[in-house]
Amino acid sequence: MAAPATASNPLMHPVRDLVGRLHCPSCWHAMRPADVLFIAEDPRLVGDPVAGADEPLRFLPSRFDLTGAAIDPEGARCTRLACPRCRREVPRPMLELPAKILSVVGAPGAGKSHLLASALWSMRRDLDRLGLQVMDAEPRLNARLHAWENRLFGSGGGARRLEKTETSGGAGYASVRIEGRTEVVPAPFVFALRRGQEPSPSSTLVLYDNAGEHFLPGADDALRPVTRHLGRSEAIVFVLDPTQDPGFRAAVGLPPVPQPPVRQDLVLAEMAARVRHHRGRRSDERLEVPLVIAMAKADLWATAARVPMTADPFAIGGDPGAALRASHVACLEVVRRGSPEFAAALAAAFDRVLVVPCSGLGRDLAHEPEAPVAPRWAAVPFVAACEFGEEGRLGGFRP
Amino acid sequence: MRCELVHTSLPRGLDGGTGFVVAGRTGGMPRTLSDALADLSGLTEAWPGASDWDRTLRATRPIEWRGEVAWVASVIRPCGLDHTGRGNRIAHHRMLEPAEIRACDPVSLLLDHERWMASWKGDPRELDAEPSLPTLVGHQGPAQAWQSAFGDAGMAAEMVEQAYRSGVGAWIVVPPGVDRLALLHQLAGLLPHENRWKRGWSTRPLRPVADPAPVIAVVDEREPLVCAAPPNAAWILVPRAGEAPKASEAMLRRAREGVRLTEPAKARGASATVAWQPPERLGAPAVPGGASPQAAMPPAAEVAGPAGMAPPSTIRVELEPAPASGFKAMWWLLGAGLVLGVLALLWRAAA
Repeated sequence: MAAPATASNPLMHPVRDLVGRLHCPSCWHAMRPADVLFIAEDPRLVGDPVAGADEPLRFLPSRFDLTGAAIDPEGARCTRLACPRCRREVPRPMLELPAKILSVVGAPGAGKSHLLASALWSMRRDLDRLGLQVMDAEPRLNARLHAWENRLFGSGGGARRLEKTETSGGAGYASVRIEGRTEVVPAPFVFALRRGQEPSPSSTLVLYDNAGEHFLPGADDALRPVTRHLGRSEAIVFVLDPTQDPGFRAAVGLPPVPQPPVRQDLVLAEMAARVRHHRGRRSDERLEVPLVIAMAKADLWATAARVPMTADPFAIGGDPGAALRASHVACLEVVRRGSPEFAAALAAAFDRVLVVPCSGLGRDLAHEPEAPVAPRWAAVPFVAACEFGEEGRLGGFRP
Repeated sequence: MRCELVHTSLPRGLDGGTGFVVAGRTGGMPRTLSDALADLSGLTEAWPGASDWDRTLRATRPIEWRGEVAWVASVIRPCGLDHTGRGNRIAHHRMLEPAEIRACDPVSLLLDHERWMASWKGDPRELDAEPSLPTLVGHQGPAQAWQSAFGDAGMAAEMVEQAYRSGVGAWIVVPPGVDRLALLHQLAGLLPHENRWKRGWSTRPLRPVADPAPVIAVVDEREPLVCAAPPNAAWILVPRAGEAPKASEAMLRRAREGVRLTEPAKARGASATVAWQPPERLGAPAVPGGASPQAAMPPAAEVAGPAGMAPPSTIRVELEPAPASGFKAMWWLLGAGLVLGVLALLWRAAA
């Protein structure tokens, strides 16, 4: 006799609550969990009209096994999920936990990839110091990040610095064929996020690492919607490289360099414009989305600028607001002295801004190629961005 | 239109911006075409420890531009550090004219190293239009690189026939240390010239696509994309040393003996013609257990069958000097004399 499909049926345990609605992390299509497609596992079912000829078939299942896994047309058990629009894989935790989306923005060469790799390396390991921990939601989808971590924190030897992030091709983007046209979508990093003393993850963290070139004017269009995550993100981490700007360099006592300056205030203004466009805001409206300015390469300038970076601001049991406020005030002073135009652009567009000094590498690998990487406060901008929500430790914080 | 574009990391690009930018392009190139070529410039990650030569992508690829298919030849290679001290690469693209396509072998063009920039010097600028490419003949001799790598040049015949019939392109996976560009050159040389331009060619894996033309790539077995590909992927072909190649007799002979055009005595008397029919569609992938395989979703055009295919091509294979060539010439002379005699009689009768 068949077992009844009720809550008392042991096959139905553990009960999984699903989110009511989610967005695809690649194309931003809104969907219900019931709309997601499954990815065929049978090796004969290769080739999908949207995902590509080399991708397994995506299908809406009509047959399931007792654990809820779909059965593909050839009878194989399938557990991987895909967006019904772009057919890119959606990690299963995104159906079960609410998603927290962070955009990482910055000019070319600002150090976004280095900072992201160092930050996530810390966030995997330092639960006590950060009060927050990340785990790969689908390790296969974060393989690019694992390679970066291995390169920076591995056993050494060979080139330590990461390659420049590509603007097209490579593992950071995927081409899909939607309604007869080829669209390039970003490939995000997705993590399960566990806070403080919680026994299990309570949300997913979705992060994007674009090439800096994508944040220059005119680099995002309908066929390359690679920065549309700005319209959905709950917080933005803007990586500001003071060493690229002659004004900053003078303000913190660094010698001038002959290379042409990068106008990071224009990148900020372009980003603000895109956030307004994608969220349907008026052009004169100040934006409520929290913005964390990660002032990178602090090992080169923080001491000279007298910016405090000693305590662990997010250590469990501490008051993050106090430590962050002190460094925020000191950094903002450097910004105002070094680049008044950047400070003005910041004040004009954003309501909630936190400036955090940080260093992804902790040293100059060009001059010390064999020295171990020693990040300083690399994870702090990302933890702060995660904690700006209502339930976070910086919920009502206005520096 | 014939034009070229160079894309690399510079402090300032031709169109402004910094980082990966257009460093140079032929004057007058439409911006839409410039953007399309710039989009081809990415260099995918290689395996740890790969040399610059291993990482270099040499490819001919079709693009859709203004509703038509245009062919682009590209060399994308690492080029030291950029102005920020990070690893840089340079992408040099050439869009080819129909006349150049008729005259050039695609892989010979990629082999012509002096045509491809290894680094960018000076400020961003518009480039002068270059004269048309000269005629570049494809490989004609025996497939010696295949002979060295796999013990039988006939393996090239099997690979090219299997790869050509794939509706989505193919990755021919070879062991480390072999010259992939030489293998590719000899592979392309087995096809008739017009068929070489019905497929793209590459030394690094490009995602299998059906339209507008699939790409045949000879790739290293350590490539991350190869390692991550599904098991038994239909587009992955692995030649194995010691196995007897399975290919048409004409193609096998061509791979092993080459086209003997360099032997004038034989070429003069040659008469044998062997027809080579391009294979029509991709066969099903091998499935462990011998279950009835379902086709690996070939594109609609391939499923449609011979109607969408190119007409059979002809390969002239120099087999043997024709033994009766002297008799033929004598019959031709006799026939011509007879016709002339009849014409002369008719003219006199009319006069």
